[in-house]
Amino acid sequence: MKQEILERLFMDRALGGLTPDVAALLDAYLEKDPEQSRQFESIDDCVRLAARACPKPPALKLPPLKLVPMPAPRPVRTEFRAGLRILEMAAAFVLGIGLSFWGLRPAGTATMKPQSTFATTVEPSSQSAFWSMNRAINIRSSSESTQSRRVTWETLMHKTQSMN
Amino acid sequence: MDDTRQWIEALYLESGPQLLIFLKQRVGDVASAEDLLQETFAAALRQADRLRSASSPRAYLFGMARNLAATASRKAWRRNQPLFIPEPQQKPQDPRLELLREAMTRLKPEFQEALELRLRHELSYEEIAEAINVPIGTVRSRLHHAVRQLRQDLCDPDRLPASRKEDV
Repeated sequence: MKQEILERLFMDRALGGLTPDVAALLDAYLEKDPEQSRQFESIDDCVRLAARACPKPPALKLPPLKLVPMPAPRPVRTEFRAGLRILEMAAAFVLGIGLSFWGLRPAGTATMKPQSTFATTVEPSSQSAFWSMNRAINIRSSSESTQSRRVTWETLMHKTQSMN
Repeated sequence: MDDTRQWIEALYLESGPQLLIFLKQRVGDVASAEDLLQETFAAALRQADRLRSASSPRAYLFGMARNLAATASRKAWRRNQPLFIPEPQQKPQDPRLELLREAMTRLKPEFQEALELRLRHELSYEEIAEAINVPIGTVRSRLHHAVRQLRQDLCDPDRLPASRKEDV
């Protein structure tokens, strides 16, 4: 048997943690092995010393036991119960109305309003409208055809010379 | 309900003295320990079904007392009161005993707790597991660690504080 396991057994034996049959077997083993027996004596001596080191203090006078009677469960008041009943009924009523509104909706109706669409086609009237492209082209072509206005500036000296 | 109350009262007479000692150790004074004992059994009455289904009602009560003491200690800490007042002890004849006492104070709290529940309050491994709400393997392991460390402290004088080396 391994020494480590034996040491644990010795400690359990010394601490009184072995069952009587295991303790008897260990005692029989120790009788045959004086070396191990010495080691057990050393452990047992240490445990006995430890037991002496923490002796039982003198007994204290036990005071009388005062068990507080357990309070009986409080009955639920009838007014509170009636209030609860009314509350339950009101909640059921509101829930019923809500559900019936939701359930009675016609099938397939959309909940969102249809979005307004923009016209993609240009109206014929816009051909001649103020901001129309045609108008812009017409103005450009007409201005190119007519002579541009020349701005001349005559100095006063020129003016006097011409007057002379 | 009367049956439950009688059963709790019987448990009080059976486990009350041990629990009172346990609680006094935890909180320091008898008055607080007595209050916590009453609280423990009041809680036991409220949780009677769980207490009945526990593998060891005594261990379950220890667990409840432990939790209540921990809460009380936290409150006391907030109020800046001392958590634990050790009892004045006589100087032991055996210097090794004093040494071991000191070694026990250096153990990790969880090892110390397991060892105290086993040696002082004589709870079985299963009961300790129920009381501190850990698997039994953990209890075994904690106890082994504690004993191993105590042995090392006793055998190896170099591990001891300088003041104690002279005694050995």
